[in-house]
Amino acid sequence: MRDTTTEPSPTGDAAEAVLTIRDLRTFFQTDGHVVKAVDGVSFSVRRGETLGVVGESGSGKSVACLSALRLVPSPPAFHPSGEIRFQGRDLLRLPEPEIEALRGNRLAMIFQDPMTSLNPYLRVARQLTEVLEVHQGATPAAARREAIAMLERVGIPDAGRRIDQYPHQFSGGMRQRVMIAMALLCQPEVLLADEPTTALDVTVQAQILELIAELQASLGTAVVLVTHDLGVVAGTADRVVVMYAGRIVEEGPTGELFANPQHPYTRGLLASMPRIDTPPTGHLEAIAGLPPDLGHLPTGCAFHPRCPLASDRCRHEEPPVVAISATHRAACFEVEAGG
Amino acid sequence: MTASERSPSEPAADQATDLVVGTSLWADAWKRLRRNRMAVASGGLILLLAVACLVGPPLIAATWGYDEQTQDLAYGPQPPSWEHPFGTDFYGRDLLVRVLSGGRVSLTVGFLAALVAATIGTVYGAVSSYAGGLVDAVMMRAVDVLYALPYMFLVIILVTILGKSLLLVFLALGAVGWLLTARVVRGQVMSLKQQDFVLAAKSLGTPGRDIVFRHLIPNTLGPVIVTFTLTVPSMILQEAFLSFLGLGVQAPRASLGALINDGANQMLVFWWTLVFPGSVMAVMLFALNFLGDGVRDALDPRMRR
Amino acid sequence: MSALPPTELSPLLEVRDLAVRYRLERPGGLLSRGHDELRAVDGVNLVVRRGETLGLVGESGCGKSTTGRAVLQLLKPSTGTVVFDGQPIHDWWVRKGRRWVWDARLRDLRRRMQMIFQDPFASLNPRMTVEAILTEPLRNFGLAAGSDRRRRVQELMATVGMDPRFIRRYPHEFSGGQRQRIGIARALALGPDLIVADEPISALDVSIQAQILNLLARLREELGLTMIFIAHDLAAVRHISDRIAVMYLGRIVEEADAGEIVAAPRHPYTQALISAVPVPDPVQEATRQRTVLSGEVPSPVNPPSGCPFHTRCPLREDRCTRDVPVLREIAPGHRVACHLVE
Repeated sequence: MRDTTTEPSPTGDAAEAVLTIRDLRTFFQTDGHVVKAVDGVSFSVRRGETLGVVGESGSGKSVACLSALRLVPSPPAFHPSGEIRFQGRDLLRLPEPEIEALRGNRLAMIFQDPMTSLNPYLRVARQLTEVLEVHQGATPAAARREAIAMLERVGIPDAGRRIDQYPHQFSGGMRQRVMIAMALLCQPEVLLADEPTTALDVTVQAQILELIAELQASLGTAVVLVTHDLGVVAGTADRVVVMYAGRIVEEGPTGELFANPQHPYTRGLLASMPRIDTPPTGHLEAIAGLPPDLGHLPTGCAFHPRCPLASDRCRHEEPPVVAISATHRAACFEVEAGG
Repeated sequence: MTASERSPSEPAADQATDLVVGTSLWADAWKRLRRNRMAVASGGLILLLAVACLVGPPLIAATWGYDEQTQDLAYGPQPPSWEHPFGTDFYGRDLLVRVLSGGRVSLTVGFLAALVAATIGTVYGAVSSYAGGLVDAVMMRAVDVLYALPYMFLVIILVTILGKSLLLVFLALGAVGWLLTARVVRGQVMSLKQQDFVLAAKSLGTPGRDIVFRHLIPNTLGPVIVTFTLTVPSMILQEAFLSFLGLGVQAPRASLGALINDGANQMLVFWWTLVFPGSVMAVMLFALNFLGDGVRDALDPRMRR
Repeated sequence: MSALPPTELSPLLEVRDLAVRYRLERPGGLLSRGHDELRAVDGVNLVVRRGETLGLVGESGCGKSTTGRAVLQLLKPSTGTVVFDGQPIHDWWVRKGRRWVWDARLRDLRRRMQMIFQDPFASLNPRMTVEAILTEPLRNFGLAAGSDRRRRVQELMATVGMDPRFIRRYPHEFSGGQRQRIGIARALALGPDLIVADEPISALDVSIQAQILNLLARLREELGLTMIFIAHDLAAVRHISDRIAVMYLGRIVEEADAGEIVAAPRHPYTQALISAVPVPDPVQEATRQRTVLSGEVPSPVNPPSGCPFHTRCPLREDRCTRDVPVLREIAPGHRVACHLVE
C-alpha cells in the first residue's frame, strides 16, 4: 500500500500537476477560539482536467479555493501549515506583489454571484481590458479587440456593442459569461470556479457548464469546480474530492466514486438526493443530524454523530485515509483497503 | 377541527418544566457592548455625572448650607480654592453647585427630549411606512415640510406661545426632534415589511396593529437606540442655545448652557466661570457620543449570524 | 357566485384565470412619464384535489411564487378567482346592502390555508422566541388559552421533530434546517387543510433537504394535508408531488401526472428543463441526450408575442410567433399549451 497520509493525488506523477495543494490548513481566530475551516487538505489538478470539490456549507470547500489565491483576509485567517505549489513556487509564502501578478493572470477565479466580483460603476470593457493591460502589457486597442473576441467566444451576442455596457445591464447568466470571459482572458493555467452556476436557472446552468467544458478543452485549462451539487459534478468532473468539516473524506475518479462510493457521508449524500432518472421511492434515506459547527467539532471522526456505522473508535480516533484502489481513497475505519 | 386532534405525536407536556432558555439578540448586543471598554467607561462616566448632579446639590446644601442660588455679593467672584473648588461667580455663588444643578437640568432636558423624539418618531415612521401608498406619501410630505422650516425658529415660537417652563422646553425640542427618527424608522420598516416573517404574520391572521408593534418596531429599535444616544447630546446643545437666547432655563436657576453663556461673557476676567461648566459639558458630550458609537457597534447587523 | 356544498369529491382549491400584473413607473421627465406592465402571472387555471400534492415548477421569474402568494391572498390578484372548499375567496370587506362589513367567515377560511417560506432566516422574526412565534397564530384566533397554549406549542415542536424544551430559544440559535422546521410548525399551528410550500428546501444544505422532504411527506400523510409544492428543483418536485404543473413566463405550459411528465414530457420547454437537470450518475450524464436551450427567459415586461416560449424554442414555427397556444388536454389529465403537440 502506498503512503496515504499527505501525498497529493496518488494518480499520475506530480510533474503533471499544475496546482498541488499539500496539507493545507486555514484556521480562523474568532472570539477566543479557533475555527478550523480547512484542516489538512491535499489535492492536485492536472492540465486539462476538471476536479470537482463537493461539500455542504461549512465543509471548507470555498475557503480552500480562496486560500489557493490567498484571498482569505488574514487576520482573522492564518495558515499554520501547508503548501500550495504552482509553477514550482509555494503560493502561501509568496510576497504580495508576486501573488497579485499571478491572480487573474495565471490563476483565475469565478464566483457564485458575478455581481460581487464585477465593479458596478465601470463598463465591462474597462474591466476586461484592464486585466490584459496590467498582466500582459497589451495596448488598449489590442486589449479591446481581444476582449470582444473573448465575449463572442463565451456566447454574448452583439459583443462589440455590449462591451460598453455596465454589469447591471446584463442578465444573471450573461453576467456569469462575462465573468468567465474575464477569467479566461489571460488564458490561465488554473481556473477556480466556486459554485459558478448555483445562482442560475437549470437551463442556463446547462449552458454555462457546457461553455466551461468547451473552453477548457480548447485552452487546456485545469478547472477546480467547487459545488454542493453531486449532479453537476457527475456531468463535468474527471475526479472528485468530497469534503466534510474541513477535511477530505473521499477522493477518486468520478466514475469510480459514483459507482462505488465508500465513505458513509458520500453514500449518504447520494442516497438522500431525489433523482429524476429513477422512480421515486416515497422515502429518502436522509443523513441524520445537522452539519457540524466548525467552532465545536466532534472528537474523532467529525462525521461520527451523523454516521450510521459509527463505533466507539470513531468517537475517539481520527480515521486513517484508506486506499480502496490506486486512485480511490476514503477516510474511514469501515472502509476495506484494496487495489 | 383543530390540528391538535390530528397531531401525530404525543405532546411532551411533562418536559415543560425543563425549558432551555435562549439568548435574545438584545442580550447578545449587551454582551458585545460590555466588551467595548470605551463605551463602558463612557456609560460609567455618564452615570457618575448623573448621580453627582442628583446627589451633589442637596448634599452640599446639607453640609455647607448653600445652594446654587445663595449669593454673597461681598464675596464676589473668586478663583478656585479649597473652599470653592470651581470658584464663585459674579454674585458670589458657588460654581460647583451651580454646575451640578445645571448638569441635572441639561441631562434631564436631553434625555427626556430625546425620549419624546424617539417615541413620536418611531410610531410615526412605522405607521407611515406600514400603511404605505397615499397615507405614507401624505405623512412623509408633512415631515418634509417640518424639515424645511427653520427648526430653531419653530422651537422659539412654541416656547414663546406656551410660556417659559422647563417642561415646555423639552416638549418643544422633542416635538421637533422626532423628524430624523421618523425617517430612519420609515426606511427600516420599508425593507422589513418585505421580509417573509411579516408576510407570514399576515397569513397567520395577525392584525395590522400587532404587526407594527410586535414585528416591525422591535426590529427597528437598534437604529432607534443609536439615533437616541446621538440625539441626547444634540438636545443638550439645543437647550444651551435656547438658554443663550434667554428662552431656556430662567435665572437664577442654571443649566450648563446658561452657565457657559455667562462664563463666555466674562472669560477674559474670570476664566473659571467658563472653563468648569465648559469642561463638564464637553466631557458629557464626548461620553454620550462614545456610548452612542458603542451601542451602534454592538447592534451592528454584520455581527449577527 | 353561490357557495357549493363541499363534498369529498369536489376539489379543495380551484384557481380560475388568475392574473397578477404590476405597474412599473417608467423613469423620465414629468411630461414623458408612462408606465409598463409586468405580467407576473398571466391567466393561470389550477385545480387541486383533496389530499393531493401539486408541484409547481419553473425557472426564476416564471411566476410560480407569485401564483402561490396570490392563492393565499397574500397579494391581490389583478383578475381571477380563487375558490377554496367551494367558496370563492374575495376581500375581507364585503358589501352588505349599503355598508361594508368585515367578513369573519372569510378570515376563518383563510386560516385553513398556510404557507411555508423559502428563506428560513428571513421568515422568522429574530426578536421573538420560538414560543412567541408559535403562539401568535393561536392567539390571533383565540385558540388554546393559558397553559394549554404552551402545551400546544410543545406539541407542534414535537410534530416537526424538534426538542420541545427549546421553545424559549431564539431563531438565530438554530441552524437553517431547524429554522425551517419551526416555520413548518408555525404553518401547522392553525390546523390548515392546504399548505403552500414556496421553495421550502432550496436554501438548505443537501443533507438537510432530504430530512425536510421526508418531514413534509410524513406530515402530509399523518395530517391529511393538501399541498402546493413550489420549487425550481424538478427532482425534488417529482419526488413529492402527485401532479406537476410547469410554468413559463407567467403561464402554465404543461400539466400532468408527476411520473408521466418526467417520463414523457410533451412541451419543448418541459423537455429542455428535464434534460437540463443534472443526474448524479456519470455514466448517464455521458450518454444522455441533452437539449441545451439557447438564450434566456425574456422579460415579463415585454413578453414575446404568440407563444411565450417561441424565442427559445427549437421547434418554432410561424404560427408560434403569432398565436398564443391554449392549454388543452391531450390525454386524460395531461394538458399542454403548444401548437405542435397533437
